[in-house]
Amino acid sequence: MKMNRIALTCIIIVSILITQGDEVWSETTIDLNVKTILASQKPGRDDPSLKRFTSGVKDVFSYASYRLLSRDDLKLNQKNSGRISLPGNRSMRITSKGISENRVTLQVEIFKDNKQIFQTVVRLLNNSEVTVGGPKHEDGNLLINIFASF
Amino acid sequence: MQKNLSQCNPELISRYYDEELGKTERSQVESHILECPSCRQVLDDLKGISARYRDHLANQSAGVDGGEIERHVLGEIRRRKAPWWVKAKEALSLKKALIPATATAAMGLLLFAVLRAPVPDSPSAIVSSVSGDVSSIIILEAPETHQTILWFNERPEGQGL
Repeated sequence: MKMNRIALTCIIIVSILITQGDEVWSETTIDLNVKTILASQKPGRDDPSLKRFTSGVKDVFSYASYRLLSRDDLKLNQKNSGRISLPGNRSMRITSKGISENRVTLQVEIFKDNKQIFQTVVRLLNNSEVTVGGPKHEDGNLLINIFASF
Repeated sequence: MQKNLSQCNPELISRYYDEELGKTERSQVESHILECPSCRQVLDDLKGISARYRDHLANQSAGVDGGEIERHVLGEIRRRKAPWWVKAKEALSLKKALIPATATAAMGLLLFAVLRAPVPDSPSAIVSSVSGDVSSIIILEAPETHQTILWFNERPEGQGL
């Protein structure tokens, strides 16, 4: 009898948690801040707004300067996407695929001349960032830094 | 003065001696004392008792060294000097200190939480899949911030897969 009561309590708690989880997801908005940065070997003054970014990647890259080209804010709900323009007739589409274990699953696609040239699916921690880089532009390379919070 | 001053009132004489009477009462008592030997005697007795009491006190305190008492008390205070944790406890128990201290601590924590950049202890992003019309792809992790970096080299134009 006692075991039945415990089992029933557990079922109720799990049901509440599952319901709550669904509600959280359905109401959760994912805020994305996307920075398009030109990393170059040409000496120059680093953009002050990129201080956090540059200090985070200083051990990985050895560029002489970083310049912020654009900054875009996207608000994504469940399984919808947002698109931003990138230099060189490129664009980026970010699609949210769901949240689990404090990570949001994002599909990141890069297009050039409307043709997909790169795609990845990443599970990004809350209040964290991922950087996609490589495309050549002017005298350097583009770095696209995506910060997500939800 | 409510009572008839033709009657003797030792209590009134005592209050007169203690300078507790008003101006009118005082002058009436003084007039009565001049005419009444009995009340004059009561007043003299009060003066005598008071004088003897003062003399006794003076004799008793004559042998007391005030400086020695002061030194003894200060020495005892120093000996019983409270340890730092007792002092801290006393300081914190004062509401005046506690409220600003709590507010300051709360503000500090808030600023710390807001301004501190979160640094994950695992990779910021787990890469589930990656593909594209590219010549190479590298996945990196920044050593300090654990930020995940995906690097790809675009295929030069005109080169197919």
